[in-house]
Amino acid sequence: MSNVPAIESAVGAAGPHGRGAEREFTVEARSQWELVRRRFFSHKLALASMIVLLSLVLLAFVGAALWKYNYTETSPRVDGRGAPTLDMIPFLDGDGLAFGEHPFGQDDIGRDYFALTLRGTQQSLIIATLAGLVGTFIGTAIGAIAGFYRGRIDNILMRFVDIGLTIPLLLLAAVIGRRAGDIPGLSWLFGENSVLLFGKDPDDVPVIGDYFGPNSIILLGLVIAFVSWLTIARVVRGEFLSLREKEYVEAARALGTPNGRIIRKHILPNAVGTIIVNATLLISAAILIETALSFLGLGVRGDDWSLGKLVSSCQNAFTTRPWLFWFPVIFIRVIALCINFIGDGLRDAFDPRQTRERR
Amino acid sequence: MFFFIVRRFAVTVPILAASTFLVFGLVTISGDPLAQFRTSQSPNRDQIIAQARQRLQLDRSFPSRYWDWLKGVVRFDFGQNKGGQEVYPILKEALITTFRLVMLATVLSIIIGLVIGIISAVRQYSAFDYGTTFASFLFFSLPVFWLAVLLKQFGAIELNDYLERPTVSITAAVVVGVITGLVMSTITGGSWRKRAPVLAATAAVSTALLLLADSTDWIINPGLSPVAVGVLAAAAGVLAAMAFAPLTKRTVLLSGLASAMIGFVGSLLFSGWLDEPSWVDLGELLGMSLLVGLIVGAAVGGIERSSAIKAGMTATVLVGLVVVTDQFISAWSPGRTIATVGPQTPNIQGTFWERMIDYGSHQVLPSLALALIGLATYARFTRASMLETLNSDYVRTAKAKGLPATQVVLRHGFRTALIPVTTVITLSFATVIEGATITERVFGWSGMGTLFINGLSDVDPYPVMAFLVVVSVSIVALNAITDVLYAYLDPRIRNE
Repeated sequence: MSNVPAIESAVGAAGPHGRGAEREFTVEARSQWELVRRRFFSHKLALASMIVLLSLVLLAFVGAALWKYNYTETSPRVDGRGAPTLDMIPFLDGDGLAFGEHPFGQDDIGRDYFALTLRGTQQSLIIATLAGLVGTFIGTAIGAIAGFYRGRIDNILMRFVDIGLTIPLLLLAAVIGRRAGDIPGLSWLFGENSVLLFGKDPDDVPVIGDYFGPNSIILLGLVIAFVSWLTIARVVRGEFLSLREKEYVEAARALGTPNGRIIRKHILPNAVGTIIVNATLLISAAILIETALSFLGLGVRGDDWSLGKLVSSCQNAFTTRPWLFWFPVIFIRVIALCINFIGDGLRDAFDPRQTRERR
Repeated sequence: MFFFIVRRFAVTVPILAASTFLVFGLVTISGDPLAQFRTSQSPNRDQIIAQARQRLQLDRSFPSRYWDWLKGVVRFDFGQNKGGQEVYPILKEALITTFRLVMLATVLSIIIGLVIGIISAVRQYSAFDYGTTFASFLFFSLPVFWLAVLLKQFGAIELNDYLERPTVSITAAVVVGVITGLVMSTITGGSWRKRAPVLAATAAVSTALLLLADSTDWIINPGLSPVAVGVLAAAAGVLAAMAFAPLTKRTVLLSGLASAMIGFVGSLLFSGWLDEPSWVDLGELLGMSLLVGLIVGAAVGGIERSSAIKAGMTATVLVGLVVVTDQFISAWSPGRTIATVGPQTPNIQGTFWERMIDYGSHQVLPSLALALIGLATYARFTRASMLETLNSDYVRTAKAKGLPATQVVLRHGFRTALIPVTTVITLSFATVIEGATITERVFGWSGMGTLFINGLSDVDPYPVMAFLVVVSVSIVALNAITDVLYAYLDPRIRNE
């Protein structure tokens, strides 16, 4: 007890803004987002995946535009089979690094497979991102409302989720694929004279289903989103159910904060880790769902390509010309892996409890 | 608890009604059911169309057709498909096929996934953890059909070439031995001084076993001698005891060992009984194993009775598995065993075990394709869930009070970690069925997926509805099972 006055006097001497007080807080204050960013950037695998993914996106969108072949033009097949001209350094069994005329080879009718793969990557990325974003947005909104208000609202919304979970994705894709053109609102958006066409010729753009036009990859993305928001809604609801009981929410309520503000400013930032992680999982799942749909003939059709459609249309060439099979698969795998690793890094960044060393 | 389950079922009835109604509507509007008749060239086209219209009752509104269907389903009448065949027998056939495919895949992936998840959580940031994390990411992001095509191309051909003349060269034995040793040593963890002996011992033992198997032609004519069964039974007894109590608890160990030995002696006495069994016989075997375990555990358990009973039952079931496996592998003979098309050889004859070998050889690749993907998910979730519980305070307390590591991990960590994992497993069932749709197509099985896809493309609602009913009913049933499991795993729910 005897030294208490001494400390008080020491603090008093340094004053509230004196040097003594400054020395005590040598650790710089960081906001939550700063911490998250630092933890994410120290996760090497996630950072590397991010870089790889970004360069793939650049390659697919910018690279495809700069590449000398278009994905629709045909040219005579080099060496009869259209083998890939991509060459590795001698160490990896090649005669020196070379890109060649057709790095990924050519398909049956002589289209450049590199251009085709890049086109497929573009479409797959658009579909997956759209499905992920829309699905996450709807799922978060519904889950937040259900979890926050509980009671009857929760019950009704969750029963809708339950019903949605029993409806097979394939059925939805088939129905929308075949009939979207007949549904007034949808045909206005996606039909032959779609407002989203931006003056393109409806005939040379591609489809999910036989029926309708050009922006059907958007529709395909929406179909996948319609299925995938369900899981996010469940997860977010669970998170909200537990977060709404926290003391800080109670404090905010005691201060008279309106419900909308509590949801947006108090609970959502604490649930954002879970949401972002699930969103990345959703995007990588969407890529795979798209592949599966295309394999069963319910995905991208017509003249356009997605990675899934490339793989499934080339699976019979597997024994004779395996590269047709391998390249799109490698792209699918790399994209899905990168997104998964990024999700893992984000999980660790938002919720460091699962990592042993605190970073 | 009982009312809890009843309430859950009461909730699911309207959900099932709503979803079947929606799906019926969706299939009905998904296209023109008469398209195939309209393009027909025959002179009596109009008559055919009129007939089909009559048979499919297309002049009635779809809610009234749905109502009829609903009334039928209660009596197990699933309606007729567009060709006029009853759906119910087709469904039954398809269900058996898919059930075989999915069951094996699910059981395999759950068991292996859980084990990998636990080990990689306990040895976080070890080579094993990084390796399995990478592998599971790899499998998690695999398109099913791609994996299936690869398995069909490489798995079948290469494996069949090997199975025709199965031998193990010395190099192969050494390589496999060293790899096993490496895996075991990373699982062991700790410093290299601790791991090196494990590596050396495991590598030596597995290499020796492989060479022994080769020199005695065991691979060409596999089977387990009574001595081997005895050794395995003893090991099963100890393992079972270890899972439920520290080995210092003599009664539990005794219960495990005694049950295993009774199982072993039983297998010697009644060996002829398994030569030509039926499925009922195998069910009886399982029941008897459980009963023996129960009796032995209750008799010797004393104060540790519940642990002793669990250990006894686990031990006897494990021994039963060893015995059945022995019968199964004995029925195999070298040849191009692995098949890639269809669920079985048409008109297969032979003993029970020969038929099992045939089923198994048709099933191994498609089930493997499904299992690898499910496995990755389960391993990931188990790992995450285990990490959370292993870092919690009560696990630290358990360690601090000196409980053996197995006990801490299995009883304090794993049991709690299982709660979220059960949810994932039951929820992913629908995904497995959907994955099965594609696997079936690649391997030429005609199961539930084929029923569904064909119904969908023909705009034929009744087969699609049959598929949906089976899937939703099994999801509902699985949810109920999850709730019961929850109550078992989490006493707070039980005592509510």
